[in-house]
Formats: sequence, C-alpha cells, structure tokens
Amino acid sequence: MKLQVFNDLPREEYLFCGHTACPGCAATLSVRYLTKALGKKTVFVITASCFSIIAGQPPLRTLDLNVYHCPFPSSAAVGSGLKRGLTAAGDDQTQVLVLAGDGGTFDIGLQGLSAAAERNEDIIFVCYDNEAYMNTGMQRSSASPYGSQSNTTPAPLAKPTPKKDIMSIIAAHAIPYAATATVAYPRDLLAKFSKAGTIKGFRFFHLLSPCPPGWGIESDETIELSRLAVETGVFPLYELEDGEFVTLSHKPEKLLPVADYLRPQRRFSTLTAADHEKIQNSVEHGWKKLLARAGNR
Amino acid sequence: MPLPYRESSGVPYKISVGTLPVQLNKTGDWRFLTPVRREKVSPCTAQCPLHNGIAEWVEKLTDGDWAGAWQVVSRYNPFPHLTGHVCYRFCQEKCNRLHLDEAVAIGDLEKQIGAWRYNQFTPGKGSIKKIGSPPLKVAIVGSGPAGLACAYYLSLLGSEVVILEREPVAGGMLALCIPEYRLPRLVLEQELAMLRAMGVVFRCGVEVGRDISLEALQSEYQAVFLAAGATRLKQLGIDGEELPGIMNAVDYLAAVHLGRSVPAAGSVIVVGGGNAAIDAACVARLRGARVVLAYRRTREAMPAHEDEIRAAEAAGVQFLFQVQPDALLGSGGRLGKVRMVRTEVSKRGEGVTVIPGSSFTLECELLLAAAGQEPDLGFAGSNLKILDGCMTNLPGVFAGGDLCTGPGNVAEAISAGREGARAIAAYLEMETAGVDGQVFPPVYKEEAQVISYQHLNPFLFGRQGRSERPEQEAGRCLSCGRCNGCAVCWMFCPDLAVDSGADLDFLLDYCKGCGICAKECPSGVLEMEVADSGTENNHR
Amino acid sequence: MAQKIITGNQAVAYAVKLARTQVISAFPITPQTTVVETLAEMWAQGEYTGEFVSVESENSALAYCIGAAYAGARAFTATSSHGLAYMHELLHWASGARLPLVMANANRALGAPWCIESDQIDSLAQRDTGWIQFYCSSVQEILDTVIFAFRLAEEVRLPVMVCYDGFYLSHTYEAAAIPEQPQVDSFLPAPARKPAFDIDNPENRHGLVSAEAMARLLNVRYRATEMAGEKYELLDQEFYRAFGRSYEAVEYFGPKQAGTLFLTAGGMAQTIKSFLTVPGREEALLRVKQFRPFPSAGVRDILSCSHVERVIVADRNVCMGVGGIFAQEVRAALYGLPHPPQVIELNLAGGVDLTPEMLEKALAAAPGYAADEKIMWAVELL
Repeated sequence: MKLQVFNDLPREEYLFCGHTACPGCAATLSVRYLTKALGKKTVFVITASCFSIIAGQPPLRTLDLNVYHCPFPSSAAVGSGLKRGLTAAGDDQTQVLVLAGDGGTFDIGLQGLSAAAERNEDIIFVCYDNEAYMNTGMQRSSASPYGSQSNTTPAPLAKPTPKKDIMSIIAAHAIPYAATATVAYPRDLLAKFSKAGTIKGFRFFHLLSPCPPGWGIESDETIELSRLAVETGVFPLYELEDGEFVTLSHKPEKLLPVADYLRPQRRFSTLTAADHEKIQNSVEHGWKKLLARAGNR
Repeated sequence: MPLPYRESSGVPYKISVGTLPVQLNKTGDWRFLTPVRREKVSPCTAQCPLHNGIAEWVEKLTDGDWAGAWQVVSRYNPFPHLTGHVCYRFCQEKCNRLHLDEAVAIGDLEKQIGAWRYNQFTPGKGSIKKIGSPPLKVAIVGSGPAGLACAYYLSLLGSEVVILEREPVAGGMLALCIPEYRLPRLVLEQELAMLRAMGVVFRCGVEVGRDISLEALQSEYQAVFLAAGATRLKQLGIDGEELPGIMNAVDYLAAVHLGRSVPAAGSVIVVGGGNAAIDAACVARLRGARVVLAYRRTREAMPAHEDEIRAAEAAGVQFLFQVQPDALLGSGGRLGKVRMVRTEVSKRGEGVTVIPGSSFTLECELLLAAAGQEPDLGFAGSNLKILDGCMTNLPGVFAGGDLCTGPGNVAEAISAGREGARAIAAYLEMETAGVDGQVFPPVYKEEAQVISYQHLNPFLFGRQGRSERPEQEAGRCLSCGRCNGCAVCWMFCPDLAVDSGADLDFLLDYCKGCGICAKECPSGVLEMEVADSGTENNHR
Repeated sequence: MAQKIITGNQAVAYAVKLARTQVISAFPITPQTTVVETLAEMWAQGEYTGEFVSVESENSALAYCIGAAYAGARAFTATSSHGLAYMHELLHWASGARLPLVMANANRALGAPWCIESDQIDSLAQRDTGWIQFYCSSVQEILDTVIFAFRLAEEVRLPVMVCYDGFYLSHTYEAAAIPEQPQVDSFLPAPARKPAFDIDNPENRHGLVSAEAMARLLNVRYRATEMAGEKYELLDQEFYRAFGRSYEAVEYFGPKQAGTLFLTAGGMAQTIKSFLTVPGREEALLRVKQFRPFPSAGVRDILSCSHVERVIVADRNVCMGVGGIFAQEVRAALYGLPHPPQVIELNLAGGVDLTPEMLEKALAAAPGYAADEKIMWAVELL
C-alpha cells in the first residue's frame, strides 16, 4: 500500500511481537527503529535496564539479532571488548551496539562510557533515557529532571538538582559522532543511525524515551510527549561531530511553552509557579546556547 | 549451536540462551481497549453537492495512479474536467487543511484528472467497456449536466440511451449560458464525445411536448428521465418590459453562445443577482459594452458566488446595490432609459421595500433581465407530479436537476442525474456491478459523522503551501476520516501489532491496547474502544 | 628452549604472548603492574600482535575480556588485591557465562589500611566465584601454569585464575625456560579466527532465567568444575610430553612416613622445601597447586594415612571468625575420617615472612597444641 512522504521507513523488522514491554514503551520503539537502520549485521550488548527484560527471557528472544547481556556498570567495556574480539576474529563488518538506560549511562555506567569514548572504541553506545531507574520501579537517577518525583524522591519531595548534561560530557571526549533523537521523529532517528553506521570510532546516542508508568502519562501519550519535548526545547534534536560541530536537526519556528510538556506528566505534580519559571528560563537559556553553537563548522 | 572453542569430549556446557521468538507470548490478553478502524466522512465530501469521494481519489493521485484516480472519481462524477472548470469548489471551503496552511486544490486536481482522461481517450473507438446485459432503452429529456450524468451511468450499465434536447446543441446551461471563459466549449465537446462513444444517442432540436409526447416516450422506452431544467424565465413585472432592447439574460447568453445575432449595445444594464446575471454582465462587457449590474439587495445577499462577483468587478462591471428598475422608458420605439429606485436593506426571502422619492434614471440601450428561472412542467402534460427522490407519480418516469429544485449548480445537477440513474437501475432491476466494480458510489448517509480538525493529528505533515505538481499537491490531503494507508499506525506501534501489508490489520493476538495508533492517526480514523471480548473483561 | 632470568610477572607476560592471546586489557596495580608493562613493551615492539588496550579500571578490564570472549577471542588480564575485588561481580559473570578467560593475580593484602604485602586473601575471597584457581610456587611454574590455564579453560569452558605471591614471586628473579612457539602450539592450538555467534541464527545469551533454569545451569557448571579436577592429570601428562615439565595438583615432598606434614600453597612451599631438605628432617610437605576445584580426594588420601599425626597448614590469609582458608578446606576434606590428623593453623596473614626459624618454632610449639587450640599466629612467633 502507498506510504506517504513521511513514512518511508524500511519494512524489515528485527523485533518480534509478544515482548513484555509496557504498553506505549518508547524504548522498544526506539530499538525497533534503530535496528531498521543498522540491519542484520549488528550484535547487541545490553546492560541492566528495562531492555534486559524486554529482550526476552530465555528460552525466548525478542530481537532477531544476537544479544549478549552484561552486568550493570560494564556495558561500554563489554561492548568494546566484543568489538576488539571481532576484529581479532577477522570480522570488521559487524556493528557492536551497546544499549543502556540512563542508569547505565549517566550513573553506574559513566566510568565505562567515558573511558570507552576517550579510547574512541569503535562501538555505538545508545542511551535510551526514560529519566529514572525504571526497571527497578522508578527510582531517581542523575538523568531525572529538576522537580520530578520518583520512588526515592517521593511527593512532597522532588529532585532538587537539574538533569545531568550528558551531551556536554560526551562533547568533552571529542568523539566522531554523537546525536540526540527521539521516537516522535522516526525519520530523523533512522537517518542518524544510518549515518552512524558508516562512521568508525565511538558513536553516542541520547534517545529520549517517554515512559508512561514512570512519567505518569497515559500509554497513548508517548509520541506526543516525545514531540513536545522537542517542540518546547526541553530536548533539542541535534548532531555533534568531533565534540564541537553542532548541526541542529529540527528548529521549531517558535518554542512552545515548557508547561505544555510538563502538564500531562504526574511526576511533575508538585511543581510550583516558581519552579515552572525556573525550568522555562533554563530551557530557553540552553536553547540559546545551542543555537549559538549550531552551524559553526 | 556450534561451539566456539575447541570441542572437548564430555564436559557439560550450558548457558542461558533464548532462541525461540517471543511471539509465543500472546500479549493481546493484556488489553482492555482495542483499536478499531472507523471511517468518518471528510468535510469536503460532506460539503460537496454530489458527495464526491475526494479523499479516495486524491490518495490515488498521491501514488501517481491517474487511472485509479479516474476510476474512483468517475463513480461519483463522470465529468471531472468539466466540473473542474465550473464548480464553485464548495469542498475547498471546508477543507481541514485550511487550519494548517491552505486548502488542498481539490478542484484543480479534479480538473487534471479529467484532462488526463482525455489524453487516454480517443473518441469513436468505444474505449469504455460496456456490461453485457440485454439492452434496456432509456430516454432522457434534456442534455444539461443532470441528463448527461444519467446517460453516462445508464450507458455504462449497458442500456441504450437516447437524449432528447430541444436546442440545436447539447449541454443545457453548459452550452447556452455559461460563458466560454468559464467553460471552454472544447471541454464540453469532449464530455459529449465520450458519451457518444459510449453509444449515447443525441437527438437535438427535438422538443418533448411539441415534437413528441411524454406518453410516446413512456411506451417506446423502459424508463424516462426528465431533466429539462428550469426553463421558465421570470419577468421583471415592470412597465415597458415589452420594448425592444429588453432581453432575458438567459436568452441573451443562449443567443451569444449559439451564434445567433444579438443586439449591439454600448450601455447595458443587467438586473438580477444570480449567476445568470453575472454571466450576462461579463459576456456583455467582453463584447465591449459599458455594463452596470443592478441588484435590489446588498452584495452579501447576492445569490451569485463571491468568486464570480469579484471576477465581474475585475472585468469592469459596475455594481449598484439596493437598486431595482421601476420603469423602462422608451425612446424612438426602443429602450432608451431605465428609471431606478433605491431599496431598504432586506434579506432574501423577505419582500423589498422601496425608498420613496429615491428614483433616478440611467441610460440604457440593452437591458438584460435576470429575474430568475423556474421549472416548467408544461411539456410533460398535465398528469405529471414530481415526488421526492427523483420519483414522479408516473411509473417509469423519473426526474432530477433544476426541473425539480429550481436553479442549482452543476454539481447538484450531476448528483441528481446520478441518483436518477441509480433509481432507474433499481426500477429496471439492472445489475449495477460493472467491469471495474460497482458503477455507482455508495449511497451517502446524511447522518454519518463528519470529522472535524480536532480529531486529526496533522503533526507529521508540517506547513506546506500549494504545489504545482499534482502528486505533491495531492499529498497534502489529510485524508480526513479515511484510512489512506499512510501506515503511521504501523510506524508508531511499539508492539509491532500492525501488519505492514496493504490492509494494516491489527494483530490482536499481540496488541496491548496502548492507544498510540489511535492518537497518532493523522486522519482520525482509529478509535480505542472496549471490544466485546472475554479477555478484556479480566481487567475490570 | 631459552633459559632466562626473569621475574614472576615477566613470566606471565611471556606465557600470554606465547599463548597467542588475542585481546589483552590492562590496568596497573602493585604488584602486578609489570605484567602489563612487559606486555605493552612486547606490543610496542611488535612481538605481541594482538589487541592491547589500557582500560580505566579493573571492573572494565575484566568486562573487556568478557566482551572479547563473547566474540570468541582468546583474552587475558592481570590484577591483584583491590583490583580483583573491584571486578568481583564480573568474576561471577565470567564463570556463569562459561567463558575460557585466563587471569593472573599477584596475591596482595586488601585494606583498610593500605598494605601491599603478599597475602592470599584477595584471590581466596573470590573462591566462590566459580573460577578454577592455581597457586604457583616458582617463576617457571607461573609461566607454565599460564599456558596450561589457557588450555584447561578452553577444555572445560570455565575461567582460570593463576595466583602467585606478590613480590616474593612477582618481583623475584629466577631462572626459567621459555618454551618455543611450536612447543606451545602443540599443546595449545591457536584460537579459531571466527566469531562465536552466527548472524543467521541469532541468540539471546545470558538473559533472565527462572529458579529452576538457574539451578540446572549451576548444576552443569558444578559438574564442569569437578571435571576440571578430573582432567588435570591427563592434561598435565600432555603438558609433560610437550614441555618436559609436570606439576601435580597436590604435590608430596619429603619422607614417605612423615608424621608431621606441612600443607601450603604458593611461594611458602619453596621455603618449606628448602627447610625440609636439611638432612635429618623428618617432616614432609603437601603443596596444594589446584585450589579450585579443591583436590579433596588427593589431600584426603595422603592425610588419612595412619602415620600422619598432624598437619600444619601455613595460611597467608585469614577468614575473620573462622581462620585460615586452606585450613578450612583441609578440615572439610578430612571430615568423616575415623582418625583424622590434628590440623594446626600457622597463620601468616598480612604478609608475614615465613622463615626457617619460624618453621622451627612452629614445629616446637605444635605438639603442645591442645585439640581445641586452632591458630598459631606467626606474628606472635616473631
């Protein structure tokens, strides 16, 4: 059947139906898309995260690709070792894709990530960021945004510190390619992964993955929240090459107010007007900084 | 699994390995709401007088499938090239795309399908297939758009159709009144050629009632469709109307278009506010006269289409509102002046109040009266009564178009002709499935839900102005309320529970009911509902 | 075979290179650092042609090897003490994943406080991780055991840890014969140069399992570990045929009918052997080379002989609240014997040096030890 211009996604699927992700899970959708871009010659290293379970419990498998699970802090190192081992085994075609959540990237995995980036290991490190430790039941991480609740910062508390700026950390490592992407912009996501597949060296992806149970949204709001995050400037879409050259992927004519993004999420229910203002200002500030850096090749 | 290292005999080796696809796990039983494809009516279709299935053929154009587009549009409207020229495009006024940027250029696209059609069609070769059933004979009175449409459908169904037209040329108002600049006669000729190639016989210069009676037609043909139009021209009802230099606007236009002689005039006044008035004013202007159009109410109350009014103004027609002729004053045995009076503001349907003492005169060599038209049933004899839904009191005699409703627009007429053919086909128990499927479109349900902009999710479209390229312009259509296979549901499903085949079936064994598909469907076709299935009740 | 005067650490490096290791991950920690530095030098000079990667922590060092082994490559790393502790989680993972890794561990104490003396607690604290463990007593043995370890690991598909005294062996120069490459190749075939997975038959490895599935996996792993002990002798014979040297899993040294036996592992065995070669000595030594799987049968066979009255276990480690770990394992091996010998612990935890004088003192004090007095603290004998 005809596809319209915005739906030229490859038809090949690398995930099977019947996986146990929550209804409306953006992480699963993200992996569905990136596997379409990378194709059959990809081996996954998955660390402790929702996807450890979504990948299927033996004897079952969800991905139609080879998957190796690994301990929580080790994903970058295991992935790097796997890639080196493949090189030693005479295979320089297979992509190694490391899949970690925000815990395995921002927190317990940060040491390994930074080191692998610094060594410019030839792997693709993908962080699907649902902004808390969701697999263990929604505890805060350093990726949780300012003002968000979690089961370790339960109402009336909320996280008092801002979200860690992982892309700035990555920028400091001057890797060949890093990018942000999210499920509401599938063509953008696929194009970026296709591009990453042609680059040698360390490639990093930060994928915003709205999580209905964790964020307190309805299961059908995943795509909308993902979209609002971009359109409000909370999660800008861009590519970062060699640590300094920023290319904006999407530039809304005018940013929507951040409140549009925060309002549907119950995890932000304790925000005050002052919090809202603080968040709006910081988002605008970040956006201006990004714009200033954009297109400076 | 081949062991990766040197095989050693007998050492037990086992690791946790998943090899079975997780499809064994039927997650469909997690669901408490089920997605359902429920199509609604697009506002363009609802607004169109013939309820054209616009989204359906626009989709074909997006694919570049011109043959498919013709196939679809001709079910609703056999004359897209013609309507593309003259229809006022009510569809575009309601197009939901207006809320994003501009309406889709539906009329232009329809026109282009018609144009494409003529590049494929060579008159005389009978390239339109007929359906083989014993030919029934049908007579159609009047060759305006209603009669022509009726002829098309009945001919496709294998009938022998004869059209009786009292004027020397076929086309009705299309041939007689609509100016050339609005409808090039070549376009009309092409439509007529198509009908002739299908085997439709035109008998022009034959007036039913004068040359042949309705009873004679009833006995010679299995059915008769009366589409004679609204031919009684109303008079102004003022003094001096019998002077030379006064013509009915419709007669004037017919004379011009039939190539008969028409009084030359330097100053022309057209009285009236409908399309006939405008057409006459413009035609007179094009022939070099100074033209004033006098309408007794305000501009807003004019029945003529706003596009026409503006076109007339641009052509140099002078408009006078809230004036009407009071008396026609002769000079030298013909019309010399017209005395006008001013009127109070009034609405259509109300009476008009003349302002006392407001009269003034205008020079006038030719006055064209466009006081309206009415159906004239005289040709049918005194027994005929017209009933609802193209029926009459006489068995086998059907009627439609301006003859029933008074002056309408071309789309309404075509619709009437089509529905008349449908009624005749039912009456004669004809098989309505042709070579390419059903000949008639589905019957339009007035009570069906029309989709509004709020139900759509046009985010993926983005702002984009009109394109010159038809495929691209067609791609701007949001397909309101109708699934056009854009597969956004497939694209956004985290559970891969939408089949990627042509029908985009939901794989209910796996669908968890998250609702993303329904929320993201650009066309507002999908809904989440509690389906009547045992598993969903588990979650209550 | 070339004879060289090398340190224990250098011996490890030679063996790793000769074993045609494909991926080495490196992180320094005293007293192992010169292992990786020597390998780095070999790599820089083109003598070692595999991958050599300096990682950022020991946790990542073993993770790196795990990744390489996932790909089917032959991988190695070295560590000690705190580094070994830092990779604890991964030790379990490697054996559960049945990966044939080899790791060298220079035994060193664990803080607090900081202490770089030789203490076996680092590797012994990891005795439950499912790795095969060997304790070497000489530089030659270290070199030979590393080569042996690669072969055994790939035979039973379990990871192997080769342990040796920090400083006493890691930094001490001894003469060692360095095998030729063909000799090594005849014992340890070169690794296959193909990935360990199949793109066309994908698998989801090491994902979450149920209790029953886990129990079965553990059961299988247990059996494989036992077989590592069972296959040792045959493999050792093969090693002898290739290199002319052989090492028993449990080695008896000294007079046959000795009533008092010493039992130890590692560098202390050399000291005790020298002590026992002095004419007139009647005691013997049981040197435990393979600690995991613990050679219970071998130890039991010797210690159950009726002439054995007592065994003095020299442990350079202490399990708080229990005592020396070798002693514990020996006691467990002796359980059920009708007349077991008395087990006296000589505990040198902290890295106390074992000298002939101390051995004299221990022997002198031993008869006076009551049955319930377990531990003779070496530091009190100083």
